[in-house]
Amino acid sequence: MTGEIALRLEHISKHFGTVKAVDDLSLEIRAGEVLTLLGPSGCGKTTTLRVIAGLESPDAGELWFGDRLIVSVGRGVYVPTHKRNLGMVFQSYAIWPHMTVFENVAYPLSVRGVRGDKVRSQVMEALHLVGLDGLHDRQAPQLSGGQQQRVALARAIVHEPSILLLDEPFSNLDAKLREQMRVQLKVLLNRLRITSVFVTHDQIEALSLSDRIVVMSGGHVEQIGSPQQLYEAPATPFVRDFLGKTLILEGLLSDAGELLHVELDKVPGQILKAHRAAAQGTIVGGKVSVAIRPEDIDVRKSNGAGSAVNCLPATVEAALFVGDHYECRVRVGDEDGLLVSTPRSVPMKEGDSVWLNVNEDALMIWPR
Amino acid sequence: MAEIALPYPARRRSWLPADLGYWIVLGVVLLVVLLPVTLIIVNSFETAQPGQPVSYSLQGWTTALTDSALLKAIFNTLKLVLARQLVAFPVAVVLAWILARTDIPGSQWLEFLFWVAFFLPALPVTLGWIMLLDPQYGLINQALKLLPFIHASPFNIYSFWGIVWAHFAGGTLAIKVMLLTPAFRNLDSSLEEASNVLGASPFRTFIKVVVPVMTPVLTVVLLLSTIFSLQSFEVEAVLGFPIRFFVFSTQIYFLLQQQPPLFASAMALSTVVLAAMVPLIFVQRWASGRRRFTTITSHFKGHKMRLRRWRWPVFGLVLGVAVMITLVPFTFLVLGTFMRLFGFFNLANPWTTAHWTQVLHDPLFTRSVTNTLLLGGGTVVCALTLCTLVAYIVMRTKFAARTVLDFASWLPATFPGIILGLGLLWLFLGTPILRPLYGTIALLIIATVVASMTTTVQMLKGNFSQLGFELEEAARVEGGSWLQAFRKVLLPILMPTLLMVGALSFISAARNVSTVALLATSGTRPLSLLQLDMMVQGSYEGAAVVGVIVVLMTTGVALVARLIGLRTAIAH
Ligand SMILES: Nc1ncnc2c1ncn2[C@@H]1O[C@H](COP(=O)(O)OP(=O)(O)OP(=O)(O)O)[C@@H](O)[C@H]1O
Ligand SMILES: [Mg+2]
Repeated sequence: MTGEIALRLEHISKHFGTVKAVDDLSLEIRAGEVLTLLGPSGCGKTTTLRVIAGLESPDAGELWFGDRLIVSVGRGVYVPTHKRNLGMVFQSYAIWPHMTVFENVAYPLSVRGVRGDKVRSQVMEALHLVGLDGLHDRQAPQLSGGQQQRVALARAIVHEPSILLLDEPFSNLDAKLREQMRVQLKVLLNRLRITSVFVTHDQIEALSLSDRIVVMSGGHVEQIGSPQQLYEAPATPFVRDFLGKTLILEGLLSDAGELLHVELDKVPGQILKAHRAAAQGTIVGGKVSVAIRPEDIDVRKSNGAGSAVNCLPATVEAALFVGDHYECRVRVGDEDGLLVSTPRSVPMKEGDSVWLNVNEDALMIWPR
Repeated sequence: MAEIALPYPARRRSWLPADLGYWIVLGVVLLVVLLPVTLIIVNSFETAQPGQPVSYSLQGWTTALTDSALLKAIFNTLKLVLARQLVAFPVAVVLAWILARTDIPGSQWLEFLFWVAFFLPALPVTLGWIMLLDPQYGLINQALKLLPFIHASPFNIYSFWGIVWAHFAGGTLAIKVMLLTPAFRNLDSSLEEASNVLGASPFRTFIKVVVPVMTPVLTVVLLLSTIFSLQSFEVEAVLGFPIRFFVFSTQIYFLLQQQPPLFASAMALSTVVLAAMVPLIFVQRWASGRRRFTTITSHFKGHKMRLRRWRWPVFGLVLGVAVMITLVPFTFLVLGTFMRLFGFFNLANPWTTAHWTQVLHDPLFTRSVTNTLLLGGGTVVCALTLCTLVAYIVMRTKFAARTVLDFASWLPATFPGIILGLGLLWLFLGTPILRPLYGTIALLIIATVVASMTTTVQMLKGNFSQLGFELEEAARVEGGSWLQAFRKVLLPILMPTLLMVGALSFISAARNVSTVALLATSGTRPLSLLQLDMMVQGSYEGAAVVGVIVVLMTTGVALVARLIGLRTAIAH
C-alpha cells in the first residue's frame, strides 16, 4: 500500500525521570491506514499515543501531520492539543457523566461552532454507525460498558478528525463483547478510512485490525510491517516470540548445497533441512536456533508416505483434549516439553510414538 | 476444647453493661448538645432575669422580630456570607484545580501554605491586615497615597468590604482550597483529556467538563463553608463595632453586654438563626451522601495538565495568593509588636521591645497562658474520650439508638459559637447543681468540646470504617473483655489518627473566641479572649504580642500534627 504520509514521528523521545518511555522513535503513517502499536506492558505505546495527542510533550524530536509541523522541540513549535483536530477513544472511555449520550457525541461539533440541525444529523449518523440508534437521550452513567465504549467511539469520529487515536479500547470489556466489538470496529474503520493509531498489547486484536503493525519494546521500534509480514518473517527474536507461539530447537548449521542442514544438539542423528532464505544473518558452521510455528507442524501417528523433507520421531508426554483438538506435549530426543496441537480425528494418549513433519518452508533459522 | 463452647453465653453476659455504657454516652452527648439549645428556645419566651421568678411572654420575640437593629443584623449576616462566598468560591475552585490538576511546581508546598492559612487564628490575622489597611496609618494606604494621582486612602478595613477581605484572607479561601484540592485530585484525568483532545481549549474544558463533573463535591464544600462562615464572630466584632456594623453573632453579644442583659431578645435571635441553620446541615448531609461519579479506580493514572510556558507565571500567582494570606499578615503582626505605636512607621524612633517585656511580665498574661494550656489540654482529653466512644458506638455496634447519637454529633456544626456559649451559660447558671462549675475552666472545656465535636467524630468515624471487624473480633475470640479488645487492638491502630485529631482539638480550643466569649470570667480568660479584650480597648501593640503567641502555639501544634500525619502516611 502506498499513499501520502498523514502522520510522521521523527526521533521522538520522552522520559519520565530515569525511565525512557519512548526512545528515539521514528514512524510514518499513511493516510487512511490503521496502524497498531503493539508491545508488552510498559514499552511506551500509551506514551507515544499521548505525544501524538499532545497530552505529553516530547523531550526531543518532531511530529508532523502531513506537511503541517505540530511539534518540534528543536524549533520550539508546539500546537496545543485542542488545535490538532483529533479523535480519541480512551481506555476508561471518559464518557462525561453529566451529559446525555447526545450531548457527549455533540461536544466535538459544538466546540467547533457547528450549530442547529447539522449537529443533530451528524450525531445521529455517528450513533447509527456505532449501532446505538435510539439511545441518545440516555444519561451516560446508565450505559453498559459496551455501550459506553461505542459512545466514546461515536464521539471520537463525529467531527471527522484527521487522525483517530485508540488506546486499548477493548481492555475493559469481557472476552465475548471484545470479539464482537473487534469485528464492528474493523467494519467501521474500513468504511470511514480515517487514519488511525491503535494501541494494544493483545496480538489477536493487532493482527486482525491493522493494516500495519509496529512492534515496540523498551520505547523503540522492533519491526514495522503488515500483520502477515510480522508473523511470517519476524525481523528479531523479540518479534518472533511476541507474535504467536514458536518451538525452538538448537543446533549446528552446515551447508549441503541446495538446502541448509541443521544438526540438532539434543536429538542426535537428526537433521533439519531448510531453504537458504530462512537463514539470514547466520554463518555456516555456527550455532543456530530453529524456530517453528506449532501450526506448521504436522503430527502423524505413522511415518506413512515419508514425503516431508523434515520428519522427527517423537513421544507424547501428555495429551489434553480441549474440545476441537488435542494439545500435546511431546519429546524429541532429549528435547522435551514441546507443545503442538493435533486434530481431534487422531486420538492421542500418553506414550504414543508420533512423527513430526515440518515443511522446509516453515523453518526459520536464527543465529545464536 | 470445652472452652470453645463458652463464648456465646459469656458474650450474653457482657451485653448488658456494654449497652448501659452506650446509653450513658448518649445521655452525656444529649445533655451537652441538645439541652443548651432547648434552653435557648424555651427561654426565648422567658422574660425574667436568671435567678428571678419565672415569667413567660412573647416580649423577646416581639423585640427580635420588630427591632430594626436585629433585622438589620440578620440582613448583614446574609449579605456578608453571600459576598464572602461569591468572592472566595470561584477563586478557590480555580486554585484547587491548579494545585491538583496541573504540573505547577511545588504543588505540595503550596497546598501546605493554604493549610497553614486555615490554621492561622482569625484575630491575629485581622490585626495584621489592620496594620496594612487602616484608613489612617495602613501601610498600603500610605504607600498608595505617595502616588501623585491618589489623595485619599483607597482602602478601609473598617468597612463591609474590609470585613469580607479579612475573612477571605483568613479562613474562607483556605478552607475551600483545603477541601477541594484532594477532591480535584481524584477526578479521572481522562475526562479532561477527552475534552481537550476533541477540540476544547483548557479553559472551555474547565467550564464545560471539570466544573459540572465536580458539582456534587463543589456543592458539599460550598454548603460546609457557608455553615462555617455563618458562625464567624471575632472579625466582625473587631472590625464591625467601630462602624456599628453588626451581624447576628455580634448583635447577640451586644445584647448581652447591655445593663440589664437582654436575654430574651438574644435567645429569640438565636432561635431564628438555629432554625435557619439546622436545615443546612441536612442539605449538606444529603448532598455528600449522593453518589459521586468523580472518583477513580486506581487503574487510571491522574495525568496532570502541562502548563508549559505558563508554568512559572501560574506558580508565581498561586504563591502570591498563598503568601498573601499567610506570611503577609503574620509578618506585619510581628512588626506591630515591635512598634512604639502600632502602625506608625514615621515616628522618630518607631521600634521598641517594650510591649514584649510588658506583656510577658503581666500576671494577666501568665494566667491566660495557663488558662489556654488547661483549656487546650482538657479539650483534647475530653474530646478524644467522648468522640472516640461516640464514633465507636455509631460505627461498630448495633446499639439501638446509634442513629440518634450520630445525629446529635452532627448538630453542633450548626451552632454558631456565640449561641452555644449562650445556651451553656444558661444551663450552668440556671441549674443549681451545675452552678459551681460557672467560673471554672471546666465550663470552657465543655464548650470547646461540643464546638469541635462534629469534626472530631467525623474524622474518627472515617477511621473506624476503614478498620476490618476481624481484628477486633479476633481479639475477643482470643478471650477478653470489650475494654481489653478496645485497648489492645483498636487503640494502637487508631493512635496516629488520635494524635492528629487531638492536635486539631487543641488548636480549635486555643483559638476559639466565639464559644468561650460569654463563658469566661476574668479568672478563666484564655489568650484568645485576652487578645480580643486588648483590641477592643485599643491596645493593639499588646494584642499583637498575644496574637503572635497564639499563632505560634496553634501553628506549632498544626505542624507537629502534619509531620506525624506525613510519617504515618508514609509508614502505611
Ligand atoms: N506520567 C508518568 N510518570 C512516570 N512514568 C510514566 C508516566 N507515564 C508512563 N510512565 C512510564 O513510562 C513507561 C511507558 O509507559 P506507557 O504507559 O507508555 O506503557 P504502555 O506501553 O502503554 O504499557 P501498558 O500496556 O501497560 O499500558 C513505563 O515504564 C511507565 O511506568
Ligand atoms: Mg498503555
